[in-house]
Amino acid sequence: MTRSAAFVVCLGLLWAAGAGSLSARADVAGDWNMAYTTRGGVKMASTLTLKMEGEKLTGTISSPRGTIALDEVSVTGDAIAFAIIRVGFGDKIRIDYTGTVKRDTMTLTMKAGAREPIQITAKRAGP
Amino acid sequence: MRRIEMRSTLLAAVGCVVMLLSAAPAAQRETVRFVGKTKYLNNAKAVVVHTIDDSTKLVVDIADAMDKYDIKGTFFISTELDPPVEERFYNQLQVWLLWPRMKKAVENGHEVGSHAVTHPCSRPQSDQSSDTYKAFCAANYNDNELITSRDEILKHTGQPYVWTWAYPCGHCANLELIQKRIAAAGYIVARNYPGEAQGLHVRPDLQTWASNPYDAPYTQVVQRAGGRRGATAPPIVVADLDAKFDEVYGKGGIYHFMSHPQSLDFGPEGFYEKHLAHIGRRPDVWYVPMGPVYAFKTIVDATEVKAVGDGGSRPRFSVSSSLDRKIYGGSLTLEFAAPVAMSVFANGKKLEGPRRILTDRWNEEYVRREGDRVFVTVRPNTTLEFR
Repeated sequence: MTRSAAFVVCLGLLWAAGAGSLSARADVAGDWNMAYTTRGGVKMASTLTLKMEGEKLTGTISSPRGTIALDEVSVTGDAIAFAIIRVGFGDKIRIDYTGTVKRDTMTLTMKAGAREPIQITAKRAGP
Repeated sequence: MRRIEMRSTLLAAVGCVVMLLSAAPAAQRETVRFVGKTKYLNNAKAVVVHTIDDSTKLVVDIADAMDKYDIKGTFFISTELDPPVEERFYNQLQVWLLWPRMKKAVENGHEVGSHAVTHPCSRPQSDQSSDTYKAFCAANYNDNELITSRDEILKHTGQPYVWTWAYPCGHCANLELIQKRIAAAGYIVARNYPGEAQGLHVRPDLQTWASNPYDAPYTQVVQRAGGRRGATAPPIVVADLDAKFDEVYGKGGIYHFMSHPQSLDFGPEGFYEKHLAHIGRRPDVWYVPMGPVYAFKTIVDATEVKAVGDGGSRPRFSVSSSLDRKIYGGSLTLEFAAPVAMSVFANGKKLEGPRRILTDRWNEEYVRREGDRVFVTVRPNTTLEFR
């Protein structure tokens, strides 16, 4: 192998490693303490629990007010998205969460139908 | 001789005129007699009250249907603006969609009552005499649920007062401690919902005012049995619903029916609108929300009517009460025997006839004659004068 060929191989390896790290999803499994303030100025708190079940990511949001399973959870790199679809009382409402994960902090935007979005911060729960 | 006769005739005529002029005021005074306060406003034969629970987006549809048939009612609204997504009543807590329609409803003679902020509802449905149940009630009937909801309604609707409460899921209505808290928050009446926890779909069959206004039942439920609980619903027989109204109407009672919008079918062929069509638009019925009809009873009980002065040619009556006008701002109807056609003035302002064919307001003032009887509908703390 010539020096130039070795250089190209090395570059390729480095690129592959980098690309791999870029596509690797953040490790989000575990409990996250979510906090936000409603449009009415009420401070709310709930727990986001994410689990890896094989290759599939699942989760729930819970608080003393109840527990609801997440739908359509996805993590790509440091981007996270999930939705919750509530059906009942003659209505079907989709609530979308999108955001990013940086170490132990998740920043989310919650959007329910035509309503103004609400910003949510989630901190990874301690051991 | 002829001259003497003429003079006598003239004197007699003058005497008659003098007698007539002096006698007329006394005779007129005697013709106006206070008979009493009528049982219902505008001397209606019967009353229709409709109450509607929850804050689903379908509340708009039910309000439209009620207006279509001129039925007045009380919308019990839960006021939480942003319920958490994990809340099991999330889809029910849609008040942000409802406020504009509720404001319009209040302007049109309806009422908005409180169904708490978060619609607290115990789960599992525990024994209502258990300590767990009592602890749930004590914890959830707090200032936020009772007072914040009240203040939100005042802020968004322009309603002068919030008279009514409805117990979410019918819970806690039987506890005196909770009834006292509701009274302390200013509500004058609280509607229960017996048997909802057990899905009983009961018919309490109340046909008048409740003896305990803080545990007030109603006549019957008009909705699919099972409702949101998803139980298999038996078919609804509209004739049975109508027959219950006919019974109450025949007795001259208060027909109070309640519904959840999510348990109805809308449109003229659905059971709900068929029932509204049967009970609506009757000129001898008073259509009124729940709070005002309970306030009305207090107004009637607390109002004194007295003849004042010697009346002269203008009989006068004072109509007075010491009630708080903000809460008890409604009218009552006074019946007078007054065979002579006279006008009636309230605090110097001439009362006109009713502006509407239907009796579907609770705070207007007007006068109406039936034969030798005059029905004067006024707010207390006024002086009536017959001219």
